[in-house]
Amino acid sequence: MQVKTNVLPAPTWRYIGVNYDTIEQLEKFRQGNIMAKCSDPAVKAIAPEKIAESDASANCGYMIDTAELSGTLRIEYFSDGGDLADYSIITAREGTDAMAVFTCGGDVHFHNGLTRIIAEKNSRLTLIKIHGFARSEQAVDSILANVGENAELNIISLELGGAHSLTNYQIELDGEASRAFIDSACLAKGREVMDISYRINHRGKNSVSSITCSGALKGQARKTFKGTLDFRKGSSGSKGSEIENVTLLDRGVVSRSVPIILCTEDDVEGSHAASAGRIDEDVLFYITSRGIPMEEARRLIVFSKIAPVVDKIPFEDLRDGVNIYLENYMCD
Amino acid sequence: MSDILLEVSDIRASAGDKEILKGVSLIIKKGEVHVLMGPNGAGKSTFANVIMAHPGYTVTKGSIFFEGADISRESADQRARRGIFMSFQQAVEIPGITLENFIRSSKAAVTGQNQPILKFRKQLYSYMDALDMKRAYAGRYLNVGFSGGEKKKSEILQMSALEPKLAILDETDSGLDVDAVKIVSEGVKRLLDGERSVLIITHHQRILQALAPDFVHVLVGGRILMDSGASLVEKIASEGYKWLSEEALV
Ligand SMILES: Nc1ncnc2c1ncn2[C@@H]1O[C@H](COP(=O)(O)OP(=O)(O)O)[C@@H](O)[C@H]1O
Ligand SMILES: [Mg+2]
Repeated sequence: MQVKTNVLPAPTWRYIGVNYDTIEQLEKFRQGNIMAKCSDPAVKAIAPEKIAESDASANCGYMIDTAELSGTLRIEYFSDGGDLADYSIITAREGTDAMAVFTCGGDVHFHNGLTRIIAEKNSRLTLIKIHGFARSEQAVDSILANVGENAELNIISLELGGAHSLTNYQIELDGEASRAFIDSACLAKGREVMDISYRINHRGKNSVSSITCSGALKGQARKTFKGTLDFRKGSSGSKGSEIENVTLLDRGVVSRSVPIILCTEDDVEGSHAASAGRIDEDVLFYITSRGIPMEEARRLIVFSKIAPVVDKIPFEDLRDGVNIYLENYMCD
Repeated sequence: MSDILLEVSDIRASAGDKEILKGVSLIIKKGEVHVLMGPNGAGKSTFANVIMAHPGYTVTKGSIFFEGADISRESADQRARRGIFMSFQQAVEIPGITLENFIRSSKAAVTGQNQPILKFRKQLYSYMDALDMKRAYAGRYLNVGFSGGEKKKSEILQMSALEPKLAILDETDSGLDVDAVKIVSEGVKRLLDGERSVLIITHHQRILQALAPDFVHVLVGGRILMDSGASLVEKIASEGYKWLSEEALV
């Protein structure tokens, strides 16, 4: 059965094909070995009954309380061919400042991840997600977050493809002066399809948000980016911006961008900018004029597009993993 | 072996339908300092870019030899690996690549040798110190947010690190204050060891006072109208280029 996802808040002409994406609903989970590794012993795995209670169906996940963390948290999921559905809840406790890194590896037939975030007053949480180290047929990654008064949520997301991947982040800026920043980079190649939907609802006064999404497309990859900033009633004094930047490496790629800014409040500021284009000839010439061969120069430029995101990953082995991924990406 | 480093013969080059260089020849020997002057729009930057193999220009006639080898058909990276360097009039900004990583990759490319991080960094810092550049710039994205003067220093820093046999400086001294011109000229002087050569494109005397050119060439309307000794610089400084075009018409 087909299920609609990433539905656009304000639909446009159907022939453009951006109103929604569809995924195949699973009849039954494909069994396999799922391994989940967590760096912090204080973090409890969510018991299967707990998962069943919440209406998310999942086969692994963690209950994370930032007050209990000692240092940066790292959670790695691994599957050897089974379906993976992870469900985690992060409570960013009042006044805490925490960082968590989620990755997924191996061979995942179907991946469905959901992260529920509650950011309490005056907290700061940085969540780093790396998708695409695992081979997947269909991957859906969702974040549902509520951000309280003067709290800050940073989401750093690296999308490295998969046959069909969907990202759905919805952030509620509930509290006064709450903040959310999404910084993402993506690389798609071959016949990969990527549908990215970010939605930030400004509800609190003087709330601030920004969305940055950059990356590259190769082969016949298709990417749709939907970024919505919704200034709800009561969000006066709020500001939000979204920027998308895509480098088109081949003629066969399709990049579609749907930035939406909705305002029910007057005193707000929303802006968006999008650019999509081929590699700049002047930049290529500059790099090659320093002795660097053309292929290497192209790789450097693609790397430069995702580097601001990669540079924020606090683990060297993960950064190395991205570099290896990029080498293969350029050669494919 | 001949002491000729660069030999450009009767180069014609165009961008789109527009012919910009209309038969330019120039010989630079090892250890020499050459100056290329000329009014705005004369084709000076085009000439530099053509030597560096900018793909935006089509060379329709002529040849370029470097150390006796015909490099007319070589790409920019191949020419750079032979030892040609151009300091850009307009440096490009590349967010996402740090200045240090960029120079390290370039150095590895021109030398064909891997550059161990710590050893390379030490060397880079010594060049930065000499150019009065804050070391923190090494970790910043290439030319991003650099002021005009900092971009010029970034070019000279790259030149210092890559140690080219021929450095072409395209108005590297423009827009710099007296102190900065001095620092830049000293950077170029350090490169000159009797074997290496420079071609300086400039409108100003200051950098030339520091670098004592051997030859001055004047490019007007895509042609070299005069090759001369250093004394020409002063005449141009006081009288401009007008007399030259008139003389050429006679
Ligand atoms: N890529 C290009 N496309 C079209 N015209 C160009 C291009 N590059 C240079 N020109 C033109 O050629 C002439 C010479 O330019 P340039 O070499 O930059 O001169 P200079 O450096 O001596 O000031 C100018 O008229 C300029 O507008
Ligand atoms: Mg010029």
